[in-house]
Amino acid sequence: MDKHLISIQNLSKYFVTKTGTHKAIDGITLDIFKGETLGIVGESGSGKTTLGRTIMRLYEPEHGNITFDGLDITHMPEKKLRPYRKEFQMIFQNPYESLSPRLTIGEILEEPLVIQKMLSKEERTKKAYNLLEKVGLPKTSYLKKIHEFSGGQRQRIGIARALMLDPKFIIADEPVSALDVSVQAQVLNLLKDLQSELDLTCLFISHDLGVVHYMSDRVAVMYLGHLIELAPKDELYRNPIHPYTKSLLSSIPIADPERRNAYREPIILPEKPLYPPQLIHVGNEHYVSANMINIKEFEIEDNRNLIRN
Amino acid sequence: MSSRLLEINNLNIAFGSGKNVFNAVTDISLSVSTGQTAALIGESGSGKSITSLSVLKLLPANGRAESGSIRFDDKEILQMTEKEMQKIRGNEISMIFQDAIASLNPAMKVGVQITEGLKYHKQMPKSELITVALTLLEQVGFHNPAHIYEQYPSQLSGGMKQRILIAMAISCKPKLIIADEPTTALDVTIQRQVLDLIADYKIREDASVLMITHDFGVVAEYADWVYVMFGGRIVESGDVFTIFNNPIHPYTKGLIGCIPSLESDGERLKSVYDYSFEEAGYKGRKFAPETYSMESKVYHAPSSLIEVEPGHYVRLFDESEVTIVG
Repeated sequence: MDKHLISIQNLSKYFVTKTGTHKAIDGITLDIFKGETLGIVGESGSGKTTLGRTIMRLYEPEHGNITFDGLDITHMPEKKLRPYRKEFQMIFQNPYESLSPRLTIGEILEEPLVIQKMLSKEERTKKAYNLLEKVGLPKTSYLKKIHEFSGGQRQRIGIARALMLDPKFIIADEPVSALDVSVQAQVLNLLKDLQSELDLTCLFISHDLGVVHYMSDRVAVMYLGHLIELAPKDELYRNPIHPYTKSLLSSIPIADPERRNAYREPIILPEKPLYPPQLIHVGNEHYVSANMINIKEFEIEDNRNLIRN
Repeated sequence: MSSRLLEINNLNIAFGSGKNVFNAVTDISLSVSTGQTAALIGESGSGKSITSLSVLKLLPANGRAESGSIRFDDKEILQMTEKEMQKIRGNEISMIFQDAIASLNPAMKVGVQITEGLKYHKQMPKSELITVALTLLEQVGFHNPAHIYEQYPSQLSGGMKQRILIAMAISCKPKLIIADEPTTALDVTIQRQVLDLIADYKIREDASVLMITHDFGVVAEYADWVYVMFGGRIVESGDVFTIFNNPIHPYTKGLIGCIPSLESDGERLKSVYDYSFEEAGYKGRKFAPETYSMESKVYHAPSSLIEVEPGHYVRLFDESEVTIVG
């Protein structure tokens, strides 16, 4: 797990509006290792979706570099990029909006292969049936249309479509937030199974810290367009350092009535700094942004040495 | 125990007419005691919102309460006229909806909006309204009430709008607040602030809360009494500790088991299919959600709620009593 598949250097995306420039993401530096699931958490407006879409090259970045498997794709023209597009696929929040209501499920699944001019017609059909089975849908789904399915089934179709091109890298942007909790659990289990079976690298975006904890190996926290903390999952949840991360974690309702009166950290929502913060390594692969609040104010265990990287 | 402020008995709600009758809510009984928070938990389509709307007689035009009773403060709601209801809505019972944008008037300053209830119900003179509005805004956590008073809804964020709704809901000091998924659209840090505000009001005024939610985390933190709804029926009820420590119905277990815990070590999430009545010691009882869903025509005939321990009710399903409807 040491080699990175995606490397992002100082990535920024601004949107120009009537009232001025909005820095949706600013100065993000991040590596995504082969085979890992990197979770991105943050609240609405933190830039997590913009980050995903910029990596997918659905937005043109303002500054910075995106390297995919050693190849700089930051400003690659669309025509040249197309063959590589099959390597990274996206699962969207609402498959009812992202999948065509007029096509059959078979056509929806085979469409990416047609565009990429891959496989013969028979092979495409065979592959579509294979994936339907893999995501737990009956064969009869092939001829149906999207409105005939429930929310959980639609998301299974969205997942199947993303996997049709055998991608190396998947971005899942809030894939379960529109689903009922019991259906959500089934879709999360499916995603996790497929991820380990197909050895996928994933960027898992969600506002739900419980879901991100379940899915991820490492977790990155975003706040107002900046990356403020990054650590292996257990390290981040057990030992959050940034005051905003602490607020976020202490705000999650705990599903145990015996603990309802336990002490909770107060909620702190820091101001957005003018410049993107520097990430500082505090040990255990744990990085925290430091120019928001003086690093000395952070409660860091005594045995840790601050190393600037 | 304190007295029962709201008591719903054997309520049935149906939509449509003739051959197209659809029973959205079947045989619901629940009560909310003074000073308590009762939670009605279920997923989309379970009938939880319809139940709460019926308390204020706000059902859509094609829906009606077929039978049963809703008693609030010893008065029968179902027999009240529209005029009598208007005296109760916002005054004795107020409601906080999920969608704050749809609940506010976009062309009216929020400070004026939150005192409309006082003007209507309490005939408060104009001179006092502003002072009360500023106090209310302060109570819901605004540090600059005079500034917020002048704002229009579009100038406020989602969390701020939801706080305005709470200020409006508590302005007439109602005895009961019905909160229908009040924080579903909000971020977790804001969710905690909003739920704390409702809980603070409840304690301060010894009021009651009926909370509609799909989130067992929220229930664990804020509710005293829990009603689990599934397919238009209550399938399990009890105090919050009983429901969490000793859930019996497979659906309740599934709802608790499917929440990703922050302390788990990657064990698989459970779903309602992973539980059965048998493991709770009820042999021959079967719960198959897919044959009991709204779309399906096959129903397990449910038995009535059975009291398995004092105050803990469970609806059991009998395998032998499968009926095919339609």
